[in-house]
Amino acid sequence: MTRARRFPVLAAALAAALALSSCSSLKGIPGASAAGDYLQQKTVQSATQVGENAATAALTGEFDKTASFTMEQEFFLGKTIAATVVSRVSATALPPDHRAARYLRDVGTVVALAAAEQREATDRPYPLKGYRFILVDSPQVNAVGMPGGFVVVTTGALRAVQSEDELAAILAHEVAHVQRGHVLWPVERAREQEHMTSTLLAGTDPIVHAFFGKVVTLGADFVLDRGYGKSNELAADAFAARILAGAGYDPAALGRVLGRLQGPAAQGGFFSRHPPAADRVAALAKETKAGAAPPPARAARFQARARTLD
Amino acid sequence: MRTRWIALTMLLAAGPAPDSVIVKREGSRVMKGPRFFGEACTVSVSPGQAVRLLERRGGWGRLSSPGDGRCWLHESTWVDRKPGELVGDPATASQRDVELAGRGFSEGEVARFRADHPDLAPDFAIVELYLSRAPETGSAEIAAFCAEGRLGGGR
Repeated sequence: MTRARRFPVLAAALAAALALSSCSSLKGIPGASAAGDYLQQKTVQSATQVGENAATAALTGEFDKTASFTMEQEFFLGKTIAATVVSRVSATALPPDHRAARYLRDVGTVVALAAAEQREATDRPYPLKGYRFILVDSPQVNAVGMPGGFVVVTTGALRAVQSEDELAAILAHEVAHVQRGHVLWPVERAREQEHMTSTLLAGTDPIVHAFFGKVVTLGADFVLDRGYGKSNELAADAFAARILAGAGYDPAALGRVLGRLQGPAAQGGFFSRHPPAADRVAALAKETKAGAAPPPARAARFQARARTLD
Repeated sequence: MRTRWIALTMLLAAGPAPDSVIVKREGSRVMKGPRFFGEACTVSVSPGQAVRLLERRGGWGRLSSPGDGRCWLHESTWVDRKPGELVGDPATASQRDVELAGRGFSEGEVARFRADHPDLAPDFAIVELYLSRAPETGSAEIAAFCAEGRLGGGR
């Protein structure tokens, strides 16, 4: 930005800072604190509005990539979204050393590494602390990937899949969303739209605080309910099929599990209703060819480990 | 003496050499070949550590050390974004994006969020339990897991 273009922004920020300073120096005068409250209220309203705008943009595919987050910033945002998602899906998780949780982690790690080997320059950096595959106790059939590499899978989903390849397919779709950065686009969009308010108020703590809370809610809404729009879902499916092939799993497992598990029990996340499953299965069928049947040892360990829930 | 200071200043200003990278993420895998589905080296690298690359192949770099030139590190270990780095079409971004990038996405803001939402304490506890006790499966175990299930692309 040139100096000439920067000046109005700096002048506006200075004016806003002076206005706030005046407010604070007028404590005790009727109406002064009300002005500060008014500004803060307006900011919270603004943050709410940008959330709605970002949601609309996601559904219509109107995302432009802009300034990005570091892996550390993504981690802190993702950790908070993950806790919010866990609270909405289930109050409990299986212990990390439960046999089924360890199996989920093994399959997830294979998928994550196969995805990393197919990394593209515009992808998100690999998660700061690696992926975390969290198995939560819920009858819902659901799986959601979040910024920072947090992937929540329900026991309902683990019961619903019929093979290790199908489990890997669900995880590959979620890892694809994380690696491609689909999860962060609504947040980046919201940040862009919120920016002017933050600049004018010089990034005061209440503003930053309100915005962080808003994007956490926004992120949880997207991963659980809203999905990322048709183009991103299809892109995640296509990338997931390549991940599966790279790992040695059957790429056609994704189409199989999508086609079979639609219905009232499948809720949001992996089973986003945008676009309909029939469209996703049809798109996958064009690009994938069924792989060989899994070897007996893979089928046997699936029965021995994933079925320890029953 | 003055020449030495100038040389030292230039050295510090230059930062890492072009074939050097800084390890960013935790739990990085150091492999004996340029692939994840194979045998791991017994050495390790840590976040913040500068390592020199002898060659690059695909997304992999062969380390000078540790490993005496026999170990490989994947770019996912060191590739990160700068705060506010512009990606995609630069025409859609602006200096304003850069100024705002990541503001508030910090450990401190997470703590404030938690203080505002005490009802989420059990859920944060679950996430932290998995963070501390459920890292990705280690390279040796993954190699065995892949061999048993005939995975890893037959590599």
